[in-house]
Amino acid sequence: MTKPHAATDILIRAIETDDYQDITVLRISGNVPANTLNLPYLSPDTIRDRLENQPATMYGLVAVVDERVVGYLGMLVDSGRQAHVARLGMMVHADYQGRGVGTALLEAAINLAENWLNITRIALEVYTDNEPAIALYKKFGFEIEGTLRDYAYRDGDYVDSYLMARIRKDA
Amino acid sequence: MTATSTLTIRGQQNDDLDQLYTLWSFPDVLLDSVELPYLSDEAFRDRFGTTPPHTHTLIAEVGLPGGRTRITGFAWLETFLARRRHAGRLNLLVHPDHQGTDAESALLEAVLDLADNWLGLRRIEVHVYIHNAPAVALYERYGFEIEATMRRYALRRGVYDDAYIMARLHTVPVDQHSQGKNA
Repeated sequence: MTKPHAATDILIRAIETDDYQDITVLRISGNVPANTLNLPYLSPDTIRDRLENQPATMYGLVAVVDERVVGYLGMLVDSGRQAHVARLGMMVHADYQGRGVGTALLEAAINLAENWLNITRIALEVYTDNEPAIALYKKFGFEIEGTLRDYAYRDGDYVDSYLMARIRKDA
Repeated sequence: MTATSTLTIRGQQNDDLDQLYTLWSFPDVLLDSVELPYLSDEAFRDRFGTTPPHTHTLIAEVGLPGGRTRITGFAWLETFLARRRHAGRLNLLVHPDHQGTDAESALLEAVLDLADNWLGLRRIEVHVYIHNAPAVALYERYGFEIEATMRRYALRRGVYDDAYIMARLHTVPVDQHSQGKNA
């Protein structure tokens, strides 16, 4: 059994190709597929390919605890008339949820987006029944902008998502 | 002219690109999209020269006197993958002289027929600026509902404008046998 960690034990850094094995494990761990768009079976090769071929506008952050990648956040910055917009998705290994990993990842991503990339709108989608995630996003100023009906298929049924967004304070 | 002109909805052809590109020369057309003006010929060819997988392109065309034709509308429907295979997003660009006409509604009807009866899509979404009342009305007429208001969606006339996500749900038909029972 892993024990809870204080937030000081969490290192946030940019994702590396070598993280692909840990990323594969966390993407299919416990409730992660049900709370994301991940499928329950996933090849590490697929993840390595993806990491090697990231678009230049994709910013990947990972959370490291006990020298293991237990959290991932991917943020895609739009272009042209939406160059001020970023969209993100994140996930935390099932065994490490509820101990500040998501908070640390999201805090870092918001700092990167708003203070370094000059992003004023950060958007994300979250299933309407994922209360811990919704609470986390609300804590960071994300607001529900609407409900997307039958957004995705999950465990035999269609599920709704909220569209949530955070607008930078000066915008 | 309008009364006699014939409207055709068809798939994209190799020699469409030049005429299609003219749709990008109307500021009024681009304003209500997230498209940029001054797109280079090369960039345009990269984007629309070959239709990407999972994307369906439809063209509305009217016949002009003398046998010439004019592209009056262009729709591209991008379908999503894996756990969102049932869903797609529609983009529609209509020539300024043909907005609000049959050329527009016939193109939308063709897209919906493709989505409902050939692809079996359950969910189609569009992004529409909240000030674009004609487009909101058009989509509502075809069963789309406003689901969300995206704040600061995109730059439009120098202002960060809000947009709606509108979506239309279509229940995929039951199989032939149960349909027979209901008939």
